[in-house]
Amino acid sequence: MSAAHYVVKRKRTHSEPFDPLKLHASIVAACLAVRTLEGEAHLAAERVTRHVIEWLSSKTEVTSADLRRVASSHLQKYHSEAAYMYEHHVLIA
Amino acid sequence: MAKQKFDYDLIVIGNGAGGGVAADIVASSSKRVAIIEGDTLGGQCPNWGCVPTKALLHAANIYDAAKHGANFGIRAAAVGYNYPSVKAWKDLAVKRTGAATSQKYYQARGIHLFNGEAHFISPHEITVNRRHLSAEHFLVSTGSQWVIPDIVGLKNVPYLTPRTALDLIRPPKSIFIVGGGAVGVEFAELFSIFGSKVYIADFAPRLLPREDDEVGDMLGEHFTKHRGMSVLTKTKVTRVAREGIVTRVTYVRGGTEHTVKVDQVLIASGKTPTVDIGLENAGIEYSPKGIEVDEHLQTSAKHIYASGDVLGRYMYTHTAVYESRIVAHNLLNKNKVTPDYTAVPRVTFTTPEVASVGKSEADCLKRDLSIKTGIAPINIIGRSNIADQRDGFVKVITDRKGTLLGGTVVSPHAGEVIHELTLAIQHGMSAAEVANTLHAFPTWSEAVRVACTKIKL
Repeated sequence: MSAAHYVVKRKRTHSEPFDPLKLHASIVAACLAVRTLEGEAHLAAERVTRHVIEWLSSKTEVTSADLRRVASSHLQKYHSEAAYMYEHHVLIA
Repeated sequence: MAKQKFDYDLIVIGNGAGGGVAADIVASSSKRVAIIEGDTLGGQCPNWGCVPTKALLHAANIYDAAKHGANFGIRAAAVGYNYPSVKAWKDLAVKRTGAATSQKYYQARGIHLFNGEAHFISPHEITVNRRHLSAEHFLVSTGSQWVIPDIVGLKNVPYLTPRTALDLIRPPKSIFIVGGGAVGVEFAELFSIFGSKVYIADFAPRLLPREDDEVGDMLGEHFTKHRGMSVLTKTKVTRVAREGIVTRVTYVRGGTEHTVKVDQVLIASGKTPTVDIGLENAGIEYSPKGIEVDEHLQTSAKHIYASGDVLGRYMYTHTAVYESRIVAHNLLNKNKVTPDYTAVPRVTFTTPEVASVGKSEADCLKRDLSIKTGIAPINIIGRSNIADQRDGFVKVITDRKGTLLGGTVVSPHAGEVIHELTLAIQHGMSAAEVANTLHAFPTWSEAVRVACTKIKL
């Protein structure tokens, strides 16, 4: 993953390079929180992360809220319950 | 309380027709203005939309007229074309718009230009190439982009879009056009004139489905009989696959699956507003159909305006320019104005041209309006005889009292003729008033007068 994509953090005090592993982990956590099998959680996280990376390809800087929104809209396709959890429980990861 | 300071008074996101005009007007009132453009200055219309397509069509029409000069005693046996030269002509027409080199103009006006994709990070702040810019007001005029339909195999085959089709170095031997709207039919005509075998497919029951029924029916017949195209209405393209140097297109029509092999596939199945710019971070309400605005073109975040294709209303250059002017006025004045879409003309540059304005018959039926229609075929007027152009008509629609509501012109120069009806509809004139106006003989506009005389109260 290119480090050219930056994420403006919630309080807008700083921005940091986009970390796909962090996104992956947060999606896995959301899936596991709704009692998804670990393998399924990793599979969904992998797919969603791929979508997000594709979406990011035309952008240089986005907000963490953007990441959450885009990731949850894709997660919705694979696991709607986890998507709800991901979207509404900000501190889940 | 200290006044909130911003980098700019206005930041315009998108330098197309919907943005540039407002930026220019607002900057002339000594305001600090910046424009953010992620692509070519000038946007779609001058660079890869109206201007290049019409330049190519103009060249094609000259070639076509020369080829068919025999009826008028013109020998045309040796007429040919050199497509790279045709393309060079198109490039010259694009260059002469000056859009791509308008940087100096804006700099002279004190407008700051930033090249990059803008993304809202808060209601008053955007990021462009990681540079954060703030403004008191914003104008979102990000335009639209082509929709790529969900066709099996499309991702794995090379296909053209209306933008990339402009840069072909030679017309394809055969082309399958997905989409029978205005852009699809214009490209169909262009490539057909230059000798391509054209298949044009649309899910709708006729070409130009947004126009009145008679228009699509006539154009479909014209394309089939005079241009040798395969017009595939009520058709769903289901699959595409690469086979060597050709593309195999599979489509379903009338419940039966068919397959054709073509050199190129052109996807022209409509446009969608460009809304992926972090609108949520600014509190702007939108849907995939476009940004929602009030009567003053203000979004749900009142300091942010929107204009042009991104509204998802009328995706025309002239409406975008009009909306841009409205936004500039509303930004600079307390008495805000509202756009009036009573008489929006639209033109499709085929032969014959198709132009319409105001309400279509289908619009009126949807609204349950009681209407009268008057139709005049163009072959009854003198100009048709002189030019030997027989296909076409003028149709006018009025309310019960005879006030004009809409009109359609299918004829040579329809794009010019339509403005008589545009003026009449905009100012609430009746068909009788138009019918009683002198029209010069022999002109195509006479058909407008004849159509208006057919409205009986």
